[in-house]
Parts: sequence; C-alpha cells; structure tokens
Amino acid sequence: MSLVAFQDALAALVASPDDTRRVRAGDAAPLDRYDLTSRERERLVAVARQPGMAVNCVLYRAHRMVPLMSLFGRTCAWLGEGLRAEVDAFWATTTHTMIQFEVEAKAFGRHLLGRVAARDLIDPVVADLVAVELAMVDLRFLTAGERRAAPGGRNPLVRVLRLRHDVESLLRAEPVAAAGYAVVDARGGGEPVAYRPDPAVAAAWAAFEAGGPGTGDVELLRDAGLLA
Amino acid sequence: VSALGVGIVYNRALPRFLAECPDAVDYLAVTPETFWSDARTGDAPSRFRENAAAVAAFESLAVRLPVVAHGIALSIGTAAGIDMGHMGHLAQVGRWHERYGFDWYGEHLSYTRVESPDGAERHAGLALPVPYDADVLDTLDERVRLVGQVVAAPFLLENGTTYTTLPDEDMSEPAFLNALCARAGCHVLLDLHNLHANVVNGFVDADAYLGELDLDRVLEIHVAGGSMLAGMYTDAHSGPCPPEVWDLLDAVLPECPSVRGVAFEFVSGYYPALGADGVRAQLDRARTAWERHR
Repeated sequence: MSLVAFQDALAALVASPDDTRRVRAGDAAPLDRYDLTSRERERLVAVARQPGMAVNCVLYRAHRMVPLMSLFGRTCAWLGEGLRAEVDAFWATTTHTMIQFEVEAKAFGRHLLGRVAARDLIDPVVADLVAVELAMVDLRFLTAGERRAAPGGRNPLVRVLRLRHDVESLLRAEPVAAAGYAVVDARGGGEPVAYRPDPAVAAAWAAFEAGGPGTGDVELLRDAGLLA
Repeated sequence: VSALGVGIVYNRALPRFLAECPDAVDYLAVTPETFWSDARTGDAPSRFRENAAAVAAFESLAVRLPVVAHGIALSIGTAAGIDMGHMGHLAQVGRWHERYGFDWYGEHLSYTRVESPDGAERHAGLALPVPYDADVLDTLDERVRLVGQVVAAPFLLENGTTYTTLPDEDMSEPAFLNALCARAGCHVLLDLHNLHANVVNGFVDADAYLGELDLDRVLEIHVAGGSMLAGMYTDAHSGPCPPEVWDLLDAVLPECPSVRGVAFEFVSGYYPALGADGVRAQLDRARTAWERHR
C-alpha cells in the first residue's frame, strides 16, 4: 500500500503550493500524515525542490480552471478580481473532484448560486449570469434520452429562465435591470444561444407556467420552440 | 493491424476543419472519455452520461474514417488499481470499441487518479509519471493483460512529459517501456513532442532515448506543439510543431518497422489561431514524412 500513499502525497503537493514550499524549505511536516518508506519520502523531498514542481502546481490550477472558464466564461469575467476568492472557496469544498467538465462546471454553478442565496456573494448580476450559463451547460451535455421530447411537453432543447436583468444586455456584459424571461436554446445544434423572447411569447409562457394557457398560446409556444 | 497513415486527435473543432479539408487525414484518434461524464457510481448507462450532440458530431466523421482510441482516464499507473468490472471505466471503453472498432487503444504511461487512505478518489490535476521501478513493472504487466481482456485491440502506452524527476529509479523510461512491452505484449505510442519537451527541459537526450527504446514496438507516433510556462517547455498542444519535432519524425520513422500511423494533436481552443490552413500544413508535413519513409 505504500505506493498508494506516495501517489496521494505527490498529488497533494501538486495541489498545494504552500505545502510544496514548506517541504522545499526543509519542513517535511506535510509528508508526516502519509505512510511512506524512506525512499519514497526522499523522493518527495527531492521533487519538491525541483523547479518543475512550480510548473506542476500551475498546471494543476490551470486544468481545474479550464472547465470553469470554458463553461462559465461570462460569470468568471464578471467576477473579475473576485474570481480567485470564489474559485478558492469552491475548491476548498471539492478537493476530491475528478475534473470532468460537466460535473465540475455544474458544481461551480451550484456553489455560486449557494453563495448568492446565503448572501455571501452580493451581486444580483452573478445570479442571473450563473442561471444562464448553468442552463447552457445543461443543454450542452444532454444524453440521447434527454433530448427526446414528450409530445406537448416542454422542449428538452430549450430552457426558459426568469431573470432580474435583460438577458441580451447581460450577455454583452452591460446588464440592464429589467425582470423578464430569457430563452436558452440549443435547437441550432451548435453552442446554445440565449435571447429575450418576443413579448407575446413571454406572455404566453407566463400563462403556461400559471397552468392556464389557451389553445392559441400553446400554438404560439410550439411555434417559438418552447413546447414540443 | 494495417497501416492507417496520417491522423489527427479528435477535438470539437474537427467537424469544421474536416468540412473544409475532407481528405486531410486517413484516421481519427478519439479520446472516448471526452464524450461522457462519469458519475463514478451506479450502473451503466446511468454511470456514464454520454453527450449526444458531441457523439453525433463525432459519428458524422467516424462513418467514413478509421478510428483509434487515445485515452486519458484509464490511469493505468494508479497504485490502488484500475477501474475494472462491468461498470468500470475500462468496460465503458470496451463498449466504445465494440461500437466503433478501434484499430488500437492508446493510453498514457502515468496516473491521474489517486486514492486517499479512506478510499476516496480524486484527480491528480495532471498526468504524473509512475516510478520506473521493478515492482511497478510487475504491477503494470498485470494491468496491461487485464486491458487486453476487456478491449480486444492492440494496446499502446505513451511516453509522457514530465517537469520533475524521481531520483533513484530502477530503470530509465525507455528501459521500462521495453520491458513492459516484452513481458505484457503491448506497444509504444511514441509522442515526439513529449520527448522534445523533456529534451528542452534538460531531462533526456533525444538520441540516447531513441537509441535505447525498442522502436520495433512503436505502433503510432504523435506530433504536436507546445509553449513555455514558468520557465519550462510544456506539452500544451497549442500550435504548430516546432522544427525539432519534424526532425525527430524524419529521423525515427525509418527505424519504426511496425508503425501504423502518425497523428497531429492540438487543443480546439487554438483552432482559431491555427486556422484550417495551419492544421492542414501540419498534416501535409506529417504526410510528407510518412510517404517518404513508409
């Protein structure tokens, strides 16, 4: 089992530049929690002292950032200098990730929404941006079964969100406070797109959500692609 | 296994590229695990959520081109064991082999998955090299045989890029690969850009490395470009191959009697910078080498 501990310890050093610096400086305490042979311990100390360990640490962070930047790019850009603290807080709760794009991105989105709900993150724009990008992630990773529509039901390739900002201004990073619906649409086959629905469609959707759409409303929603 | 020619490692820019340049490649090297999310628990198919849109885009090309697998998540070097069994990662790769008929299955001689003493698993964040020790060789010998039982295709292991080295190893990387191939019957995926990165970073000498490696076992060669990071040259797949990689290809191809393909790798995010013409130029350069030496 010793090699298990060695790999665990090396991966922990890669994920923790602080521990790597301690070991490099001669304080091997971060290795004490592992059941290592003397050869393995000497190897880890030697590795921590090599300049390439800095590259390993940077690559670890970069590889964990890629799913977030790829799938929550607008949210990350909006957070600006606050992104680092949010990412660190997220990673502190997800030390055992397998770094899969869908899983990692959805977990980050839920983490941010949780921070907003707890009022640890007080920025109403973030909640709307996360909602839009979370819907896009959801649509990007649909399975074949999830893409099949139930007749008369909601279109599985479309999400309708209620936001506090106009979605089109949000996507331009110039948010305008205006409560209303946003449509996130993957019917085109490429990347999902988000847009403000036509006012008549928005009114029909409000009636649909309230449970009382008329026949004309259903036809309108079907034509707009919101219903299958 | 018949020779395939010049290939490309599949990424999501490929449908666009191959729409413009349909005759640019002879085969696709696909990374199966980029098409699914793995819940790590539960039964297939609920454990493996396949991205239907991505699969459809890939299949539109796979119907007309041979496909090989270039895996990144087997983590054959994980000391705690590989993910076996009917519901495991390897079985899912096996199902994809049944579906697409991989000519071969390549993976990395490294580990990405680690386990804590309590059995909790996590990703190491990057591919870390296994110690080239005799006991690790014994373990990987068994693992390679297991892979062959689940994925009935030639199995290749790729030499890696490393930014740190372990002192006091029992053998060199080529000696380890030679011994593993001889014992377990696997083959080598020779990544010339990984070798180049290790040369630039001062870890190996290319001639000595290639002189020691049993080139008869090389079934596929990869070429790529990279970039500098924190003072070291990385295998970033970020653009065209440096001239040294092409020199290595020209030098090594005639020495690899079993080689069946040469594939170019790039990350899709660099496609706008490379452009269709840029990717095509890399593939044409690889084809020139292939046709000269094969």
